Amino acid sequence: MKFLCKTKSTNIQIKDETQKEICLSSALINTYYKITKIQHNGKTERRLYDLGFVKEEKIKIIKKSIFGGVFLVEIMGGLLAVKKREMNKIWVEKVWAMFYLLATQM
Amino acid sequence: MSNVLLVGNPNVGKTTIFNKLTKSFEHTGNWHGVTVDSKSKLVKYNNNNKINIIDLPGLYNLSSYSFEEEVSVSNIYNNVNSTILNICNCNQLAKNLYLTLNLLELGLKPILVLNLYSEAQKNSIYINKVNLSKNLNLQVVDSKNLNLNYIFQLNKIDETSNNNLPYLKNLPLEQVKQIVGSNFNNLKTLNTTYVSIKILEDDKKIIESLNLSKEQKNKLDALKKQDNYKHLIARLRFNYINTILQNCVTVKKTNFIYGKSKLDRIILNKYLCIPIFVLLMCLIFYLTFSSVGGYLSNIFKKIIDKLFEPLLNYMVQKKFSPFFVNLFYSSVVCGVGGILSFIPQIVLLFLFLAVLEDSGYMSRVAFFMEDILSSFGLSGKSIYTIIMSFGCSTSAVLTARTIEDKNTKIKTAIMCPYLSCSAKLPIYAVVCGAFFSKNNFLIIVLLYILGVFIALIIALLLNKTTFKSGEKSFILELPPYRALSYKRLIKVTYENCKTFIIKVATIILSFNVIVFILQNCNFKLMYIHNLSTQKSILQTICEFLAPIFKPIGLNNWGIVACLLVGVMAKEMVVSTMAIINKIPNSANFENDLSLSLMAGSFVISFTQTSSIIFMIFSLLYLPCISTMGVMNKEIGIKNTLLACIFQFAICYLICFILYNFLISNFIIKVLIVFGVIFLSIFLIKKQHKTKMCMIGKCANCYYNCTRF
Repeated sequence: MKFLCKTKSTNIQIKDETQKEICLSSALINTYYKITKIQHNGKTERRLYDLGFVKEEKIKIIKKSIFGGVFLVEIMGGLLAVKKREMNKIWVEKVWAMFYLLATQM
Repeated sequence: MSNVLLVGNPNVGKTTIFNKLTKSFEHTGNWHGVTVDSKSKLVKYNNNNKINIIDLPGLYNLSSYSFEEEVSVSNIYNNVNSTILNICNCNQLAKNLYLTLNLLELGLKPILVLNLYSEAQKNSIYINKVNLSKNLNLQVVDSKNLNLNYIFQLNKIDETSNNNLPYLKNLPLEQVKQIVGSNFNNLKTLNTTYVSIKILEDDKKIIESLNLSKEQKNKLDALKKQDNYKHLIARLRFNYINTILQNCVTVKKTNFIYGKSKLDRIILNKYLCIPIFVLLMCLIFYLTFSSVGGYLSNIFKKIIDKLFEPLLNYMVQKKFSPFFVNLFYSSVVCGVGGILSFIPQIVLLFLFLAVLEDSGYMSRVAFFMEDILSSFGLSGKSIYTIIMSFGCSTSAVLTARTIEDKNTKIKTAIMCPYLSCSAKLPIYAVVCGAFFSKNNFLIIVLLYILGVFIALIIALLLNKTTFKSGEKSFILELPPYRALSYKRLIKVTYENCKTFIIKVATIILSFNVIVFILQNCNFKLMYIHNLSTQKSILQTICEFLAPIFKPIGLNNWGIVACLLVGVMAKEMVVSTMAIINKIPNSANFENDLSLSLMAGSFVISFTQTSSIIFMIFSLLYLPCISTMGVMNKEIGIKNTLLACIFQFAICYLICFILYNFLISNFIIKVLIVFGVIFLSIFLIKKQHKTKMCMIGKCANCYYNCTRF
């Protein structure tokens, strides 16, 4: 299965499911991921950091809006609505459920 | 006298604490960005000691992101020697302490106020306040115990101990200090370590105020390129917070997510979210205008009638001069009494809005409406302004401040006056009562929908022309659902009643007196006993202006007078109608006024067609003076003036087209309807084709064009 991620720097990047890193907008719903890279600039970048979008932080998509333009994500124990455009520039890696369970229990 | 600043993340309860400390009733709500400006109140404590408590808009970081955050940051920078109360939500302590670290970096020693402590305990979050206080080296207080004496005592305790933030060692602060050197003197109120951190965080305001030379800037740029310091600083702060919280916070529910609710499965459901929202708004309007509102309004009318009747009788018995009896009768009995009878409906509307605000539903609406509103060049956050506009446009314009994009903010502020505020409600009620008594509720709802529709079209038009929005960001925190407490219910009702009565007793009463004098005096300021023989000032002016309104079917000086006065306050339209038509206040005031509008013998009278035009014109023509004032503050005088002229022109055009359509014969009506349908289909098809061509670069196409 292929995912399409549109970013500003590279017009279109195609990521395969087998590849480790995908952009957050193409992540699966109700699956835990950890943030690996944030490609934003300026104020939006800083705002995302303030809200906990930092490397290694776990994130999960809960819901998409009617037309899929906004995502509801779970991060730092809270809920955030984030636009798809912002999600396209956040790169994540899947957290395997078993490891995550172990990590949370520790 | 000292200042106490209330600082914290958005929606942590700063204004609630401000209200508690100052015994005031500032606007609160369970959504992001209720407070958009700083509010202060001087309070006395302990033998006349005075303290100035300042409530600030919420913020996440001391580098401002939006307009209201700038207010907070500048207030903090200007009050570095004041007492800072850092309000934290116990349910999201990790996120909230991020701002605390910012304050510590600035060299401040805030008092940490733990809010929603009992709610956190219900969510199985237990905080060890002693450990937290030790680890952060700050005073930690539960918000329940907070009062002015307590703040004063806490403030006295420690001034000497320093907060060492270990993570700062990982940053090249010394190198920054060397490069900036003596330029730190340009920001004397802020400490050098803090300024250095902000330079690494790329805070443009701080960098600009340092007046750095090109060489210094180049050196700093080279230093910043060595690492992504913005990210590094954020990560170091969060790591430090996590190490602190490990010793202080016990979370028994591992899967607890603040704001998550099973209710969201239905409310945020793809297919149900919009129908639920529409049904909810319809229910609010139905309860306000029809069932509960109508019943309460009737009771209120009887009470007002019994209040004014003895006063009027007393004046007649004591043989007051006819001028004063007439003045009292017209301005107070007809004007004020008539408007006061709408109190239940207006208060009910505000009450429902308060329920919406406190429930946490507004943020959910912003989430699912973002997609739709962004296609009109607006933001999901514009929904706050739209919903608040149903209450009062003046306060609604202020809520647009939370929108980060400047053009989107302007568009949102401009579209506010097109929506039906509570002050327009009496106009609809009186006019509909006359001509559409059977479909009263339906017509009012249609007017509300028309307002929203025109406002969205205007936003779209502005987005395509002068205020184009580029790539807007949208990041919004979702709060948990909360119920409105009975205490707040009583307070909301009381405060809204009080505000409305004060407005009626001051502004509306004084304008009523002016209208009465203008209507009953000639240019020599002599009282006219027989209005049929002589023309009053108001009649002369309005007759002069009346031809302007002839093409839209409102060629009546009385109607023109109502519309003119309505610019001062929309409530004045109905009271002016009552003054001009001389309707007594009685239990049947609304009916009497409505009947007079139908009878040709009164000054102001309508036909069914002109009544529709009048309601649409009242809905759209101009914002009231106070809304214009706020718009001027928020979007500037030039934009406000242009917006008002544009609004009047649009309103006139709509009314002109509609009036001529309504008075034309059946065949022309049918032809016009078909013409509009064909034109709409043509435009939609054309736009669809253009859209396809725009994206149809098949090689790199992001969309699946083959389906066309």
